[in-house]
Amino acid sequence: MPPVRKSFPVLPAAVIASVWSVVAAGAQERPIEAPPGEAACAIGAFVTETDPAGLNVRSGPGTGFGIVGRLPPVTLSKEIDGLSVMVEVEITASAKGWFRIRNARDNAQLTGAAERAMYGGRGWVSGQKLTVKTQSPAGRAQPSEKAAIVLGTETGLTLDNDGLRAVGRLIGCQGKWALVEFGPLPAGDALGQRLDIAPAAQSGLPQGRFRAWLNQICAIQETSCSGF
Amino acid sequence: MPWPDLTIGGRDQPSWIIKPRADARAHLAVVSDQPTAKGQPVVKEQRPPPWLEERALDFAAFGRQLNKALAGHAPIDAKAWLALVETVPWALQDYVWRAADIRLGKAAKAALRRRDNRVLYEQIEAVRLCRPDGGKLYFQTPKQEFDAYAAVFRRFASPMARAYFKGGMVSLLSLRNETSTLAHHGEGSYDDRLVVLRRIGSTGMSTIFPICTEPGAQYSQRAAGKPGGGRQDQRYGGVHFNKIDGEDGNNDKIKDLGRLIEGTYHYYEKPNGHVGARAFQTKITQVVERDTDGDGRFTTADPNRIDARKAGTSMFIHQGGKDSVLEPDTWSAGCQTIPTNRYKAFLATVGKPASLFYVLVNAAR
Repeated sequence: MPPVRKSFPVLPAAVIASVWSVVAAGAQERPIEAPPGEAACAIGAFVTETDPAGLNVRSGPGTGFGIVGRLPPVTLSKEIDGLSVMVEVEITASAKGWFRIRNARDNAQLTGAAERAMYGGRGWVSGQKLTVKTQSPAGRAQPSEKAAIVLGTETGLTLDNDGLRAVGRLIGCQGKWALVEFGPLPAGDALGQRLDIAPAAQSGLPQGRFRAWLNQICAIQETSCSGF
Repeated sequence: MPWPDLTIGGRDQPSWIIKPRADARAHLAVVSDQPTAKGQPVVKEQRPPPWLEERALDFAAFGRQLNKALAGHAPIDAKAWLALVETVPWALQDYVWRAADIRLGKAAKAALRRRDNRVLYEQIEAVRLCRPDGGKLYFQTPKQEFDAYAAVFRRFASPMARAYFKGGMVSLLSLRNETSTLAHHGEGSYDDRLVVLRRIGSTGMSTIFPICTEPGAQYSQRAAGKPGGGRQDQRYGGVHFNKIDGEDGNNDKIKDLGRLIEGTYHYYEKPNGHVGARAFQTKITQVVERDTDGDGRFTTADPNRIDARKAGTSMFIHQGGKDSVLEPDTWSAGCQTIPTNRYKAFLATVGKPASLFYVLVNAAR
């Protein structure tokens, strides 16, 4: 029996197409979002706070919660000229752009000095003062290896370098994935010219900024990770 | 062993290393004046040319001349060639034969197999089968040093790396001395030798830096504490634990440290650098071997040791901690790290190539 061909009326098809395009345009305007509510994760991150007073650690995800401790700011290494060394933390959850941390510590190998006193317990800090290092070659639209790639670089290279780490801010996390907002990159930046940023990564964000979900997070500042 | 005579060869070149066998030159003179067989005339073509014997031996010229003599199809005076090699300090003789080996053409190799050339054949075959010395060597001239390490590079490098080297591109050779990951409290050792080579015409330049090519146990899961106290693995008691890295190679739920297997790697400069300085990364997934039994060594006894996928391109070349302190920390979880206090010199020596080949060789020690 030959296949039956269905013929759609022209007018309803046009209406459906125009509605679909409006919906798609609306979806493109929204930035890649972190999961709603509190999401559990297990990644390592670095504190980018430069205020000499340090970064407040709060009892909950927001400025309305009390301060339970402080983390020291970025410090210059005595080991390597010009190297900024960050406090390292473990992240266990995220909510509304805030992150639950624990086991904060100085990297004495890089600072070349004794570890500074800091709050080492559990608490919440703003993702605006956190960054991560990824060894993934690509960033994705969703926290899944099957999701569309929205951030890439030259074949074979990975996204872990000092430049990207310096302009990164943590937006959300889930499992072993981190949602990071980057930018703006310095003008004429060597890395910026090699990045392939999809419109979906930039939608709904100010000029020069882009977001992507990243895995293969490496929590070691002084070297790279050979497994995840 | 006698105290070094510091007046000979400079402060860094002890006399017992720089000086060859005391009677080597005299022996060479005697051998060079004798006919190869009683009643036969002295045939110059059978022997090394006199200009080669006049000063410190030029390894490359020795190789070229030996190739020429062997390819001439006439019987050669093996004793005279051996006597010439004897004029070089013992530790360097291995490299004379390596420099000769890579210069032998097909005709010369065929001639080597003749019974009367057996003595020479044994020397050449020995360096083909043996790994080079990874220790510190004191060459008599900079050209000897270049010729020696260039010979090792050409012997172990891939054809493309050899072509780049021949074209005058900067090339890196690392001679790895096997070290336990547990050594030096697990902070690694700069006991491997990195040779930066650049061929210039018929000669070239070589510069040597310390490098660490193996991970330190400070990044091993086995060195981490366990809830009840103590280490996850008792053998790691002396390790200054830092963080966990690696991949579970043998499905025992313990992450195993990995190191690059020996071979040729094509490195590119990482845009924006790494750890505050320029760094280099490959674009092709690297194969690593993992210490799956946790004994601190990378041996064939490690079950499922070869990991061809999971390390990705993570084994960079980057700077590590200073080596000017009592206990250097190499910061290597498998990366090839060079001390930060020597890193600027390394970068200046390398220059800014679009890419460079790195040949990693497991040394004999």
